[in-house]
Amino acid sequence: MSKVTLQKEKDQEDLRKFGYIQELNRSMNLFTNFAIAFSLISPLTGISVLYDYGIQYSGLAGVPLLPIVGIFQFLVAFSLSEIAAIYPVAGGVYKWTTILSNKTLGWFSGMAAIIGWSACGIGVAYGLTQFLLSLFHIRFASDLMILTIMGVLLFSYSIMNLCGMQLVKWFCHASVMIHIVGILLIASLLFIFGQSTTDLSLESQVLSMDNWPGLLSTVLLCHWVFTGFDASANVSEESLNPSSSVPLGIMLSVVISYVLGNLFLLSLGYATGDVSQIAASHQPGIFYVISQVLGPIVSKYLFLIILVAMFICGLAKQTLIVRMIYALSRDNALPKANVLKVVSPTYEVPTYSVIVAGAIILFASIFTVMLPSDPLPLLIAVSALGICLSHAITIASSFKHLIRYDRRQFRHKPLSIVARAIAILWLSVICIIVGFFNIWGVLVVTALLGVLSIYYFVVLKNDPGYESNIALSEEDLIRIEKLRRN
Amino acid sequence: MEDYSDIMITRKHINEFNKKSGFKKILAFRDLWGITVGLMISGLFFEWSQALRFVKPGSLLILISGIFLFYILYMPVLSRLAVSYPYAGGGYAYSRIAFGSFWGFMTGILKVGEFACITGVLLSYLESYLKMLHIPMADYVKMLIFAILMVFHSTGTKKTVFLQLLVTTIGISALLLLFMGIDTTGALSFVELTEPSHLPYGMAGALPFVLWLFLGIDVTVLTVEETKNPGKQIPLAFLASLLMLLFLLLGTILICLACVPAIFLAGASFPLHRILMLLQEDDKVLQAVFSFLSLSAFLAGVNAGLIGYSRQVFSLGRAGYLPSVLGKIHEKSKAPYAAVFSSALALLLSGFFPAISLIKMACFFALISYLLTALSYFPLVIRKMKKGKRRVLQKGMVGLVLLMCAVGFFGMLFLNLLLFGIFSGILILAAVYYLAVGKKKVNQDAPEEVEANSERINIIITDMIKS
Repeated sequence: MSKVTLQKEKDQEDLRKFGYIQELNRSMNLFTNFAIAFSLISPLTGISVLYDYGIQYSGLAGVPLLPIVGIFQFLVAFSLSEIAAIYPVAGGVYKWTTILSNKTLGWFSGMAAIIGWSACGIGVAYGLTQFLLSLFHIRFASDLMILTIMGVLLFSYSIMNLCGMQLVKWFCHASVMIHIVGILLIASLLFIFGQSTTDLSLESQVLSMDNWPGLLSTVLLCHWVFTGFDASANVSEESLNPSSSVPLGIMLSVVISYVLGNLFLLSLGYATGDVSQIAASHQPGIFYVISQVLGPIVSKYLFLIILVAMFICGLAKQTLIVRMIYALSRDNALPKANVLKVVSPTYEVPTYSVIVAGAIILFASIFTVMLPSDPLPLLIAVSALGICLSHAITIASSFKHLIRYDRRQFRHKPLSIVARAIAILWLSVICIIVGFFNIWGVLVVTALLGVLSIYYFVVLKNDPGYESNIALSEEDLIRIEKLRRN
Repeated sequence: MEDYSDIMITRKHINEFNKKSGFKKILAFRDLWGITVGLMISGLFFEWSQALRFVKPGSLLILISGIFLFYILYMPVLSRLAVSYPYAGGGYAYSRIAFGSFWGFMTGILKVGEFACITGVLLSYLESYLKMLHIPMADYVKMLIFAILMVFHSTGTKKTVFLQLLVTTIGISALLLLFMGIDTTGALSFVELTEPSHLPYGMAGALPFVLWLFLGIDVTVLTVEETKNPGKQIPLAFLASLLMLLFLLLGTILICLACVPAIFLAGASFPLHRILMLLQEDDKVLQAVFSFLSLSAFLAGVNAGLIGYSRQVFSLGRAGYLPSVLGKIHEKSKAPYAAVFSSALALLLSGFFPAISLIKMACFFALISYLLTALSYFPLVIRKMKKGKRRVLQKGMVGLVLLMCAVGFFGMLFLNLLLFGIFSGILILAAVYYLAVGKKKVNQDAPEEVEANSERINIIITDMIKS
């Protein structure tokens, strides 16, 4: 028997201990795991979409904030990766919080994550649409046009997700290559040719505490650039040796994104020149900077690289949402869960979860596009708050667990305690900043969680299927496995 | 003829041998695509424009169409053979099984010659390109790059194909940048396309420069022992690579011809670079980025050439025709390290012979090896087929391939008698080596040899049953 088959059997046995049987295709190695998390963080996407906002809020003074924020995000990733090593199941924050704390908190943590990731997915699709319009020099696009482009993008993501994990894996591998080559190329070109057209811009910019709301907003934007690493955990049940590959995938993706992201932003900052020109240019800031320095042809070529990276980022985000929905429906924690948890035997993907995820994002996109003002700040706020809440709840649950209960499971105990304490503090600060940044975002998340809490306490809590589900008994597992084989 | 090979121990024997001293099956469709396209796109960056010295643009397109048709016909032949006889030897394996060890060895040597010349040509142009970019000590840089690639190869196929995929993609993106950088609006003129050429001499002169663009496509079958599910992946990779090449080739040539008169391109060693210099003279950034990206196309070509050369040498070494040290495989990385390092021959060729002569030599080697491979299709496949329309169709297809090979060969011969003399000399030397050394040291455990022997027994059994 080959090593891979042995590992698969061991992983399936481990999964059974959590009360689940293997339904998804388990074939991902460390690189694929890293590639999925990295494609989701996608520094090219985050920085490209948010560059204009960063310039608007704090000018080039925001550039040095990215490495600082990255260190805090690294601590969050470290805390989550430790948990991922111990509980390698799909569902990430939802499942971990359920195990570490209780079902109610787990469910809300999962829901907050879905809200956050959906907003994030819409944000990327919206950003990509704006970039496409700008590339084709369409300055005043109608809502219908924007929505059509977003619809085509979301539809293509759903089709790709329905075709099985192989295609998503292929795209994520490509994304790693695109990011490494793309960022190295853009950064080196901007450093080489940037000087000839601009002054040393960073020297003329200083951090000023008079502009603290702008700086805080930039901190939030920087935080948004470094989210998505827990995607790796959501594909735990599709990974070989997930106890090792998932945490390593998370940490690697954060470290490499940190290096590439900072290099990319630094080069942009170096080449930006007069920031007031960006707003007047009526095109995405990054397009303006690159085309000013590198000319129209090379800049178009580089935009294509950025657009491909953004497209794959959107795809990975939808994959993550699908896995979250699948994990929740597997525990009968969603309406029509018996349908949502069905896995296609041919493609080994949760077919209906893919369709529902696509539909939710598309439906939310309609509202987003119809907003009277620029929807991106709202999407950033909703997404940051949702994701931060889910991370904070999970880490807080594990923190309690770490101190009170099973100390043996966490190997680096003192380091873990410090890291988690800082991570929780940091996530709380981000949640507060969201309030300053866009109060509507807080209201949207609160309203959504409020509606969901009614469903939870009125319907789900009283559902015997949900109550009895969390861990199946040994007899149940044997019965289900027999059924599947038949 | 009935096939009894499945009831014999051949496959089991071969599998056991491969388990002990064979490759890992790790290559998938995209890897094969990367290797094949990588080798072919490098040709788009240099020297194809020399064909315009002999023919007018319209005739060039006709020639390209003819050669493309040849490869479209040859591709199913090669795929079928590769799937039926999945051995690293490629052409050597098919000829060995069909016609015996002498012709097997000769086909193997032809392929070694072809890949050595291809890699040598690519190294030559890499050096010229570096010189054109004013990179100091270009010859040493070339050697350093080649040495790094060889070391990289000997660390394992997985890393090699990852690098290959990366540089191929960057190379293709360089062409994309070129397409974006050239403004063809209003420049396209069909006058040149319809001008008559000097037939047939013009075609014969242009032939090696056009054939060069397609040379090495059969590198795919040399990696068959490392391919997962070769029955599906090899034909698919062939088709995808050929279509990709056609798209890029026609795109590049048509765009170039649409922008500048053919006369501007005829003497250029690096036609794409020249076009950018002509049309985007002021855009230094574009020129710099294009030059940088083009370098990766050269790397893709050299890397793929190294893969093809090393697999062919490895298979001949494994079978004992060449020194057995060349057939060694690294225990951990499963890389044919000795064969890889023997590719220093290509470096020597690039240093001592003119690149254009190497291109023509590569064409001679390739055409005769295609001829032998196509001929082996008759006893290995067609003879086993039931009588009917399909068999007639296959016969016709292979017949056409043979005819085109012969026409191409005589066309080449016509204008390159001296090179043909050298080519013949090499083959005579190879035959002498075979009779004096190679023949005596054949390793009967090598998969190609086991398969050949089993095929012979198969024929004997069939004849016995019939009688």
